[in-house]
Amino acid sequence: MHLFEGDQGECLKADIISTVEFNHTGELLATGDKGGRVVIFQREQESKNQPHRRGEYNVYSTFQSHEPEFDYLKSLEIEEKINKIRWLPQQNAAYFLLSTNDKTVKLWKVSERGRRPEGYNLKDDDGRIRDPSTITMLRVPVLQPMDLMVEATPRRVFSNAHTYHINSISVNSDYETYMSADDLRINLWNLEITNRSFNIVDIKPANMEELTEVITAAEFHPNQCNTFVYSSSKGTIRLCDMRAAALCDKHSKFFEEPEDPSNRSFFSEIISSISDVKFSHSGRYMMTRDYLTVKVWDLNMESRPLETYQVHDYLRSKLCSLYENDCIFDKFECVWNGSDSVIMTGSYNNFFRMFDRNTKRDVTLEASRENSKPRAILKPRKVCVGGKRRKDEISVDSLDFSKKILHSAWHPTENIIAVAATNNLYIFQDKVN
Amino acid sequence: MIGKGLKRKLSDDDLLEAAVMQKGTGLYLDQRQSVLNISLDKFQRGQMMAEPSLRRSVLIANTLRQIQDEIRQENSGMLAENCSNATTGTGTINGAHSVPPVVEPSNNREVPPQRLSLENHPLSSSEGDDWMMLSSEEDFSLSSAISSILKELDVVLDGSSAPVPPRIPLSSIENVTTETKGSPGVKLDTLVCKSDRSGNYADGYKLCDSVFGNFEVLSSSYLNDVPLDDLFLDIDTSVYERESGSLGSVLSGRTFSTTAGEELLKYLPSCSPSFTTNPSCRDLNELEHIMEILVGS
Repeated sequence: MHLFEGDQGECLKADIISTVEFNHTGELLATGDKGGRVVIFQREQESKNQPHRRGEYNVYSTFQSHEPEFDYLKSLEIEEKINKIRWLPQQNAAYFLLSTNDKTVKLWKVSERGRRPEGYNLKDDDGRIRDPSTITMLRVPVLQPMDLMVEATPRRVFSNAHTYHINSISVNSDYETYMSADDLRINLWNLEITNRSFNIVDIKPANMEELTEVITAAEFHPNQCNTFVYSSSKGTIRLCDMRAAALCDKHSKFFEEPEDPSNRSFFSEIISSISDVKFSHSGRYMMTRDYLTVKVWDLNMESRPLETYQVHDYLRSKLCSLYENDCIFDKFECVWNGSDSVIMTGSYNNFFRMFDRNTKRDVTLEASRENSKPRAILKPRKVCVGGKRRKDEISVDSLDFSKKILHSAWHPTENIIAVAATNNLYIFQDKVN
Repeated sequence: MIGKGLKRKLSDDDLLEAAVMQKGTGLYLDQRQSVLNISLDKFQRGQMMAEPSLRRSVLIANTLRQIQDEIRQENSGMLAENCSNATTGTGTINGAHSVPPVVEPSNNREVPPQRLSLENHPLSSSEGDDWMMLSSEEDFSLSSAISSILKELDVVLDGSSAPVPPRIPLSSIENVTTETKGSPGVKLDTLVCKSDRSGNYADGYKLCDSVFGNFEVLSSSYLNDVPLDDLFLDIDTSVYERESGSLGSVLSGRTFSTTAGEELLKYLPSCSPSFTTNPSCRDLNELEHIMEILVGS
């Protein structure tokens, strides 16, 4: 198992972080918060002078992505909280990302300006108009270096296509289209076109009284641009092929694990609701997160998952209380590491869990400032279920359910993870001896 | 355990949770009742939230339905030990099917009738005076509760109508006003579960939650003859700032049968500035006012 050392522990005091995402090279890390802001971190270039500072992440750009809106017709506020950020693959010097709140997706361009033209003829470098009588010769403006400026500009705004709350966005591998999913519908967009989108999934029943299931997450296949999956609140995943039909209401594959009758309770359906679905980097597997477990599925086997990992099974006997205080509705995300050998997901008390798929070993770590000084190695934590509590263990009843790790990200190639704990962002790296 | 600083409501919560889930035992029934109460409470709170979450509401509704199915099966004597179809959510939830009046579950535990007569459902009882018996009929009121709640969901979220509250069909208005004048029988004022519910909330909600029909009622031909502008002279529309984006988006997704309906949509009474207060009470008064005008009383 990897040893992780605490890094600087960037602390964003301002607001609760609602999404975390590395870009495709891992050079940039974006976070979105409840206040509608996006903060992008950039990894320092490694320098030979200071080898122990292995590429730390520093703030690169901050901008307000979404503002709160008010829908006068329904008398409902539209939250500015950023639900998801997804990076586009880099094609030139600028960086592009999609960010979304409940209703509107925006494409942002983040670019650097390091030079500016100087030496205009008709105006000064300050911008003041020069007196024409003082101009005696012509000069050609040249680009001179200036202090680096990073600016973010909204390039596209994709709005008015979702009646319900957007929970997912996913960029297609063709790099031309992307999809946005809300509770009942999924729309396909062209990145260039903002006034049109195609509805590819619609599970709204004709009569809303018959509604029993909603879409909880959706993602495009990493390699096959015609394939995507979406998960539901009933614990099912549907894989759809866009070549089969324009409206993908009929799935190509249907993944569902039969229920274990010995674990049946009033809350069986609620805890089976899938909160996140992620394809592996290879595209052979997908991972789903429900309330108590993480499951890895082989795309060729629909009948049951390949692997099931218990995240916090000690909560199974507490479901009624968790239902009462609404914690049972928390939506945890899950992530793969770069080689698809380790999976990670969050839990309560600022704990997060990692499972090694090959060695079958798992570890519980904590993201908190009291327990991890910079460059300290994280100590594995343990929750004791009953009976005698050993030293260093924490009992189930002492867990803090207001401290939940819902969002995290793993660097695409290295062992660097970003964990969002409420309003703090923790970045952990592999320890180098 | 239930978040820091919050007092536990039931002292035997742990007992309930730890109990093995044997159907038919008193403990199981206790927990089922407890879950039922909590669910009803949660559902309403969810509707009242500034941001109703559809996923949460659907999950709670399914839990309620599951319990309802179980109760129904028990009462019709068809409870099978391995019956696990309750969670699939199939089967009708329309309360208007012919389920005979249900005797209370046999555990002799007192279930105050008010808890379950929450959603007295004038429209679904148009077939007769069934609603007078609702207070003692767990099953009927539950299914009508669920169907009305889900219809409400559609109304609130999909915007086929205005914000809370949607319009009350005219026929049921008379029933309601008659009722509130103190005729015996079902108490419309009663509300679910928790005794700490504020009075305003209860009153506002009881009316909102009766089934409302949707917006098409107002766009029927009845209104074509009514000069709409006159109806709303007293409403201060100057505070209403039209936002073209949101209006456009909402209008495009809807089917209006008349332009009168569109006009009505724009001047709905919920355009007052204090959006953060509980909309149901305020809108309720305005709604009644409007209805009085329409009915011509």
